[in-house]
Amino acid sequence: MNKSRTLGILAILLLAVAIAPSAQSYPTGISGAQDGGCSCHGQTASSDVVASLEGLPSELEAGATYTLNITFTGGPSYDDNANPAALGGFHLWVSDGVLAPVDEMVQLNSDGSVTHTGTDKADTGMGNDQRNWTVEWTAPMDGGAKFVLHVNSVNGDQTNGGDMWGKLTADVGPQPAEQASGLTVLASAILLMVVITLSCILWVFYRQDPGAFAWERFWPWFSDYITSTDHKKVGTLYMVNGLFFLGVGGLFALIFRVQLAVPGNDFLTQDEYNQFFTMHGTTMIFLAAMPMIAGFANWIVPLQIGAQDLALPRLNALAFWLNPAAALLLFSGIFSGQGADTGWTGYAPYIVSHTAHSGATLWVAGQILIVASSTISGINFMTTFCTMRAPGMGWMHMPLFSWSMLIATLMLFISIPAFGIGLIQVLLDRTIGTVFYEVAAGGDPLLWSHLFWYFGHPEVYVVVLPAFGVISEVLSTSARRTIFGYKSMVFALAGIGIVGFIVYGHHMFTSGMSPVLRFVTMLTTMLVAVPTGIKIFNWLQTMHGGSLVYRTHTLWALGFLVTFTLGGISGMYFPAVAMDLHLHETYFVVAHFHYVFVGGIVFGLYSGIYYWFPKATGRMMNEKIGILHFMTGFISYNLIFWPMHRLGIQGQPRRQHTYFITTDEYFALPPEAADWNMLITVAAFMFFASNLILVYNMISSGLRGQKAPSDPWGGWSMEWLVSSPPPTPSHDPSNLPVLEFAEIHGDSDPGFFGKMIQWMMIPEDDDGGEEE
Amino acid sequence: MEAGGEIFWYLFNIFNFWAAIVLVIVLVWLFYNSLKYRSKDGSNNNIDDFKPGVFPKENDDLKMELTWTIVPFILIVYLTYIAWGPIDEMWSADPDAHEINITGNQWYWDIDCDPFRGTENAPESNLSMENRSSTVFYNANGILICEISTIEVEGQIKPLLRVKADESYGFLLTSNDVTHAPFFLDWGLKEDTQPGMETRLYYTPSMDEVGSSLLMCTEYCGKDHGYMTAVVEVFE
Repeated sequence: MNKSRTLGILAILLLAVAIAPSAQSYPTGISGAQDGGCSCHGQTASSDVVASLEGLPSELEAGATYTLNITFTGGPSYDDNANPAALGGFHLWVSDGVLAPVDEMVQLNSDGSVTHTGTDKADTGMGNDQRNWTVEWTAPMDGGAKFVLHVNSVNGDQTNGGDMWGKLTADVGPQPAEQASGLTVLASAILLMVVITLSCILWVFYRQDPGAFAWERFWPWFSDYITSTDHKKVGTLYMVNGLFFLGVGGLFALIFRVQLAVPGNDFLTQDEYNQFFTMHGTTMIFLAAMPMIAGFANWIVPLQIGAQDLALPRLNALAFWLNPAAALLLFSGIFSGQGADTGWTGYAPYIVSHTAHSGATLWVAGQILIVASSTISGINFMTTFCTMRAPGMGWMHMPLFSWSMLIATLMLFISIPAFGIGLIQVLLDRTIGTVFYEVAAGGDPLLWSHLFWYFGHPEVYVVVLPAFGVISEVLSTSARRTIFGYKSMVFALAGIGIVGFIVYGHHMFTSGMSPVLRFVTMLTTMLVAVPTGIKIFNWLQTMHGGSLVYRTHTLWALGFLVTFTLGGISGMYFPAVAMDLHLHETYFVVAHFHYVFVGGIVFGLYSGIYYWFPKATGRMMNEKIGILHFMTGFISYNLIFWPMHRLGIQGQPRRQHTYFITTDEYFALPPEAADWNMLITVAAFMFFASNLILVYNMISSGLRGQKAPSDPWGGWSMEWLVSSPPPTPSHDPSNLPVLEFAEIHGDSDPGFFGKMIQWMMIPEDDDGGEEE
Repeated sequence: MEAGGEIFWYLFNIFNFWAAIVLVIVLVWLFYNSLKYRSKDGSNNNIDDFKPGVFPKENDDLKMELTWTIVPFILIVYLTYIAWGPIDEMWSADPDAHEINITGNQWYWDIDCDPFRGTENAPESNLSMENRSSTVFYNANGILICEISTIEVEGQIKPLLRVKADESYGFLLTSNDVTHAPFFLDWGLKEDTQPGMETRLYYTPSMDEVGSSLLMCTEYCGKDHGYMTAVVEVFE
């Protein structure tokens, strides 16, 4: 019964998808009229019609004027044309130099190309009763030119049916060196990364036991990973996925930094640039940062709270496998040449307008899968936290990384439905023609911005809070001190979690939204500085009286304190509305959020990689290579993003493929801005290279590093109880660890809320978490 | 000339001052602690009894925690108070302002002076603007207050808006397609143009701001977003 109902619903859905208007594409491809041809005289070029272009010299003289003769043979014009007043036509484009008509048979188009007259079907005496035409071409002062010629051979019945056309291309003079398009560069680089990643996986498999290497053993080993529901293996998948896309996102950044290295560059077209910065943001946030955080959460949370696995392991695997599917959707757009060009914010009404690329539909579909994935893993983690803490571990005894994941998951779970709703509306607008965002039909131009930022700002905290958690663990263990003010750290996390929901309006100060909302979000945004400040000062005080051991993870944590403080301080400039009006949408914003995203999140996660790597692999990481990674990474990172503050104050707008330097005519960016941009580009390549050191270190240490003890750093939380690497199940379900206390606590018994949650989440006949 | 208006630089300098103080405190504290309490591996004094599976001794001090809750809060209140003053300066309607309509299109600006909205007696000079390369508008006293013509920006023809210093202008912004935002670089102002909606900005350019500056689009609008420029000139 259920099965037939499901099949019925699926059939209806399939039918709906089939009859819904599908994506449009041009029969001749995706590019402009020159390649597409004279579609008004038939769809594709015919070999019967032979065009010829005479009068081009073999040796080009700069600036000279040449007379060109255009003729054609073949086609219906010669066969059975009954109308001598309509014989044919032509269209000639040239890449350089100037074309000019010599008589009234030829006209000049606004794009500099020439065509026959009489295109309005005025017959006699016009250019369309000819089979040959004459034009003049003045050669450019330097370099050669490329000609593209289309000719029409018409049958004279004044309709398009039965007409044919032919095409000719000609080069003259020296041709510029072929330059690969930005998309080709990107595709090659990603392909290279895929190959390297696959070889690394193979090599890791090979090095595990070189003597017993056999291809027959590879597939079982590999499929064990990709079909596993074990939280550690899913966590590894998340980490590999996250690091891979961190690299892809970096490639996007490198390519568009080349474009921005000098003003007025033409390395990328506007279209390519717009797709690349869109995919850079989307990749970094949804395919790099969030999977990496989910990877840490998967690996560490069950170990840390003394659970055998996550509460819902199969759901966990599903949440992961939605990510590669989403990535395929997000990226398939860009390789059609029509990738999403909306910015990671996907602002409506642009995203539903006809000028947005068709790949935006795929982008929206991919984002919906990300929303589904986040929601599923949110349910999973909240259930795990509520029901699977080890005996003796009250809410206020959870390690701070677990606390940060709990708050982050709650925030994500509450905020992401708004994004999901907006995405579904946009998808419907773009596919079946609803008008949620169509302003002419009464749509609100600000609706998307509100929905997006209601999600988008908490999303920033969702990714930064786990980094806070990592730093709390690392600093506390490295200094061998309990984190200073554990309770105020938890309250600060919760404070950020609550206030974070009512600050989103600061992204929209210039949007013309309600002045009340403008004022309120200015106050609340200022307020976020207080809990953030508490956390920074608590971290600083944690070191007091301790004995700080300098490991690579300690260095990244101290580096985090510097860069995150800078990012936090620059964030204070935006809630001041009158100041934001200048800084909004400039590089100052770019600098600020990269200090938070890279200097905060990525540095925090790097610290976490070095900290938990011995636990995950059972091997110590190479400290010397780690310190090299930190030094090169920290310096090149600051060289990239510190000058962006200056560029922003000088008024360089973000999301633009070029920038303008002050001339005698008008004031714009100062000439030094070009030098700063060049420096940023060079530093970006250095930063990218420095991260390859991390990848090398992870692989070589994972295979050949020293064996790690179960508690290499002297941490207290429960992940250090189990062996390195941990067994499966992670903690023995029949003998779960019990949290002990170094001193007597008065608050071990659950309070009112603790009892409430316990009552809601755990049935009374619960037998202690045994599997069925 | 300098990017950013008077209010921007006033707030920016105050914020910079306090940012520098906070940053110095954090960095000095960080370097002091991380150098003073450093130790070689193996010589740890485990004063909080770190042991796997054991919640360690507590380490807190309510007075200190309250200090760095309350002191930053006071600083925040002060900075909010400073920023509160000019919060609506550029949106407060000025009835005497000369109105200029700016309409965003993909990907060009339509700029249109309308200084006589609401008045009946436009001077003759306003009507005889055919055969001119520019459109000029005079006020009731015959003083030129707004001129629109064109200018070349890196090989492309863009609108040039000329306005008079010490005159009050109100910009009425809207869009014909998607969201755009004119960025008055020299004045440190921007406001989105939204389709189906009218937004406003008010500004009185000062004598210090005489000169031309580039106007750019600062809300992403598609392909030629980066080329969507104009030039604004303030004349004496």
